[in-house]
Amino acid sequence: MKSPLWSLAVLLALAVLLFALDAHGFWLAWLVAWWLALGVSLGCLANLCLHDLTGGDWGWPLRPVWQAGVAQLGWIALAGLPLWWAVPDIFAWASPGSSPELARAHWWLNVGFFRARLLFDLLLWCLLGQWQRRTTGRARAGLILLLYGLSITAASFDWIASLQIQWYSTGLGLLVAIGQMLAGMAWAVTMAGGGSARLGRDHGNLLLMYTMSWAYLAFTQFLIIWAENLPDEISWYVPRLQWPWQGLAWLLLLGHFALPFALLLSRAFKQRIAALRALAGWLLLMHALDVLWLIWPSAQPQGQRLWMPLVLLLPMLTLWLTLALRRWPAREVTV
Amino acid sequence: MSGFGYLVGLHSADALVEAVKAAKAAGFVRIDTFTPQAIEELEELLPSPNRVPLLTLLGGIVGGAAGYLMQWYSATQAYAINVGGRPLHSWPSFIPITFETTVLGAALAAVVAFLWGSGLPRLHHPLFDIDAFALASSRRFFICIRAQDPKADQAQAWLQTLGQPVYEVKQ
Repeated sequence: MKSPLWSLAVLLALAVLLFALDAHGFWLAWLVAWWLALGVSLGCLANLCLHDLTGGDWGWPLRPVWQAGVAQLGWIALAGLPLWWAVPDIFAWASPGSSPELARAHWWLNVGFFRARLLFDLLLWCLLGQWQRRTTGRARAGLILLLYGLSITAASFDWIASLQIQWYSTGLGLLVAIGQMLAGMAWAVTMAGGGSARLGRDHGNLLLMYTMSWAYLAFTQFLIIWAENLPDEISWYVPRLQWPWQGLAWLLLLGHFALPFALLLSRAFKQRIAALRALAGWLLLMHALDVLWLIWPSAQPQGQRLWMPLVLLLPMLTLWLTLALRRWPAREVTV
Repeated sequence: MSGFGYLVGLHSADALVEAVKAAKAAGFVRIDTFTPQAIEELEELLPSPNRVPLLTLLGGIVGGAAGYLMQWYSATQAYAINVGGRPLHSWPSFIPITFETTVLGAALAAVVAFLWGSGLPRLHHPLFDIDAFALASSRRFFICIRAQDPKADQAQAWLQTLGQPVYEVKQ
């Protein structure tokens, strides 16, 4: 699978096959796979801007890897375009016979405006990637981070929260953004982490910070909604606390938080380059499951057709990795 | 010899690192350094047992377990109240306090372990008898060969080869 063409061919063949089998399941699975590829690239962009703002030795070996990730945004935008046709299919709010709450939200949640936002977001993310690549400066980095935060929050409400129309959580945008930045950091550390004892400690501590922030936000959202126990909000967790999703919850709790947390506390672990990189690769995998957790139970509460997103995630991730690895090591290191 | 050891002040971190390497090569084993800032190479050259991380971890575990048990005991045993029909042992609401007591236990253990490990609080130290030692907190990098070193009788002569005044530190 060295050549991206192979991954692309497998991905497209599987996409056509799934679409022929079950269009509804395919659109949702495509959303999961696309959201994962998009998230890793946007996470790279956000980490680049973070380093533009803070500076520091820890970032220099990682910058080319992030730039290779940001360079993927072009084809990811193309891969997002077909979702134009998915909107009436996967969202319950798009079909007639709506509730009074829905009528109030109609100005935001209608197919036309939704599609316009999709195009706007895809264009914005491509432009932000180009802007980061072509220019330098702290004000620009801050502005990109700001626009990223706003756009990903709106996109999370659109593509994740509105799958369950009655559900809302003001923390969702931040939770999604932290997950994406964690994925961007994990990808860079997998490729170029460690290098010296000091860099290993820095990279390990940053991964620790991301896993802790992610766990903090994910748990806070759960705790608040669980404590309130209000019908609209708890609807998000009712399917997620039952089989098979409870199994995924435990896997994320242990694999996305407890295990990396315990390992990254150890200085000796962080200074071992092979161990650190392996853990970063593991975190990237866990992020893929986190994306699945955010989307699939909302649309398929009993876990129907779970194989569909799993089958699409793998070639999508492979395509992303093979294309990004072709760009890295990149020459365009902006200092 | 009796007393604390022999002390020499050097003018740069690099000179100190070189001196420590040379002292180790010359067979000295009880070497101490005093510097105005942390020097990472010295940590590798002169590894010292540091129990602060382990004690911090233990303090965190004890603090977390105690915090959780406290809530479990008060909510299910001592003063059981039905809150909105939830189970008495509602673990999600115990997590924030457990987190806080974990941090508290770990922080207290870290401070106590640091003070205990470094022999603080202590009002006087033999090194303070050397006037020049005050520079260890601004611009001088000191190396000391302790009296307990098996080759301590050669320490004074060897330290003189560094080309700076050698101080004898009494107990």
